[in-house]
Amino acid sequence: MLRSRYALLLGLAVCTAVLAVGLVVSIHFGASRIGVMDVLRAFADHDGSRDDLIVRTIRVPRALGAALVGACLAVAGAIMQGLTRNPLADPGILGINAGAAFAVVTAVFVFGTTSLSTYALVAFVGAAVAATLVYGIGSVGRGEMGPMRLAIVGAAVAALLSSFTTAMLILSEQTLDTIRFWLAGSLLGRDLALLQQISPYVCAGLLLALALSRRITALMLGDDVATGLGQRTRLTKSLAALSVVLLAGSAVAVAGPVGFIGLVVPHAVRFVVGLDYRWILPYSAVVGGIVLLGADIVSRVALRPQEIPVGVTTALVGAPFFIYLARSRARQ
Amino acid sequence: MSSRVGNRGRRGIGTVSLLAAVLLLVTACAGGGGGDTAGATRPVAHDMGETMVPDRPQRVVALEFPYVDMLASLDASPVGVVDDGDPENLIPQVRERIGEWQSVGTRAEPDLEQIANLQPDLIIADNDRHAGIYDELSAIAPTVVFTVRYSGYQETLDVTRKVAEALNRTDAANAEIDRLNGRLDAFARTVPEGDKRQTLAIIPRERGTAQIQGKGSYVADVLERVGVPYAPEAAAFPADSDSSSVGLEGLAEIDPDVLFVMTDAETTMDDWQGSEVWQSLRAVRAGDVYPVDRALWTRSRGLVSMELIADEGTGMLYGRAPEGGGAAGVDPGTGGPSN
Repeated sequence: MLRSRYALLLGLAVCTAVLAVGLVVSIHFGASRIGVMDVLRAFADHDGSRDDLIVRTIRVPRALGAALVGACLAVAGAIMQGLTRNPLADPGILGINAGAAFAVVTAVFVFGTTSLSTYALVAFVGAAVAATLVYGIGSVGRGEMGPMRLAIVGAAVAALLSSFTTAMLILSEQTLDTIRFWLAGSLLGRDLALLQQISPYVCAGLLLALALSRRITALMLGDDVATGLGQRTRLTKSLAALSVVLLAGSAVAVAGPVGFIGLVVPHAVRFVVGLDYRWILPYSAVVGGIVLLGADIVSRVALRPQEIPVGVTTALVGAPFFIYLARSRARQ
Repeated sequence: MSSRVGNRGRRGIGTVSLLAAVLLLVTACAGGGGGDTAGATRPVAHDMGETMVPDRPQRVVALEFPYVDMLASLDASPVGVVDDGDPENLIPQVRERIGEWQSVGTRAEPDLEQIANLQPDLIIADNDRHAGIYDELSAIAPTVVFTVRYSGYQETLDVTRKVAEALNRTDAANAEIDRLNGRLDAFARTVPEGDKRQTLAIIPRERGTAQIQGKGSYVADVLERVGVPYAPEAAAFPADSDSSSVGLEGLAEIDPDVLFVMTDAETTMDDWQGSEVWQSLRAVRAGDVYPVDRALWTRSRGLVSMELIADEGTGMLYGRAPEGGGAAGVDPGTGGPSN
């Protein structure tokens, strides 16, 4: 485990370098084979050739989107795990994925929407409404909102929304047909405009998360300790939940419900950097970006020229890794 | 068409008791002297074994679009079909030929109560979708099961013959297939000698995402049957899957000369028009992007649609097919497949 401040900074720098390499590799690989020189040429001068267009309008937005979504998911997952003191928590517990999926499927089912940018907007609203609902119900009643209560309310609301979603998909094969890829989580066909649309929310979410990192560390020690340290825990929790909605909502808006990143990455990070959220959060952001970039590359080249939804790849990679983590934890 | 309001809940117990009642009723009627259906039966072989069906089935229920199309091409009128809740899912040419029908739910979830209410004497079900409810269907009426989901040209003809056998209309099927092959040969003769433009048929999904119709799929096969070159790169995509998606980049990699884009009210290519990569596609630059009706090109998949696709496809690519002149009555049997 990295302990010294110096080692932690160095580690973060190394991870950032890996992320940069990942971006380049992601731009290099794709359905069509484009040489490294051609990739570089696309940046140097816009000659308007096919490869140039593909690199600039398809691959660059896609690579940036993967890094951004991965970072959002991992940070949101880390916060959720701290907030609920539940190592199995991820943004899904706030009902975010279920809410987004429900909203998008409703939009397709009722209005026949097929535009990705509309999906993004609808998904974001659905995620925010579901999270507010979960958080609202969770905080009603006496006493502090314990982590258990939030998890239970979240699971209940998610189950309810998912069953509505399933019902619509069963009723309309056409709806299922239209958004199958989105529902599995995918980065295919995302363009810069879409990323620009959500970047303010992402920035706000990340800044809020970083600002809260010290408080979340205290919260991990228990509400009593945090209160003893002079913290207003209810405020901290609400702000943390807000940043989760901003981050995970943006992620689901861009890529659909991508699983496992929010669960696995914070664990791996905590393994290396310990329990201080001032380090966990930036590490999670960078490592989350790396992991989703990698998964997206795999989903493009594994079955070339076909594409696998990236959500399938993250599940395939994430599940064994998670079991490995859990087991090695148990041995310690 | 009136009773489309299906009770989707609490199906289990209700269905069983209703089935029992209907069965009693049917057997009572048959015993009482319903002349035509109680007559001779004959065995028909199908995917799930052999079933005794009436000599000449009169009340047929079809549970997949291609079976409805095949029945239409045999001039048989099913009493009940699945239309997934919207008659428009069936192409107008098929609707005209089969006349009045009653909807019996969706392909994925046929409404057993409504099927039983129609008192059919033959049910045509699909191996992919309905193998799991074969016993329930068989309890209602003799049921034959075939496989059409990913059929190409030859399989479609084969299944049509099997359907015809179940209906005791083999002669009609053979005559229709001969006539159709004559038409297809005629369309094939409209393909200009030097025209090597390669085609590709796709279904747009989300923005920048398309499903490629693989080599050997229905559309690809029908186009090749009439001598329209289909992009060889499509061989990398499975013919027996609906889920093979590519991005615009994958499409640009194939870059066919001609694109048939299968659209309907919900599936359009509007989102693509702004993309520079889309604009750089060979087919787009040449103005050879043809939007075609998805119900006709990918859902109907029988003989009626086959003739229409061949007509439409060659018509769009090479100008009008020679049907106005004397070429309409090409005798079948001359000239084999002209690939």
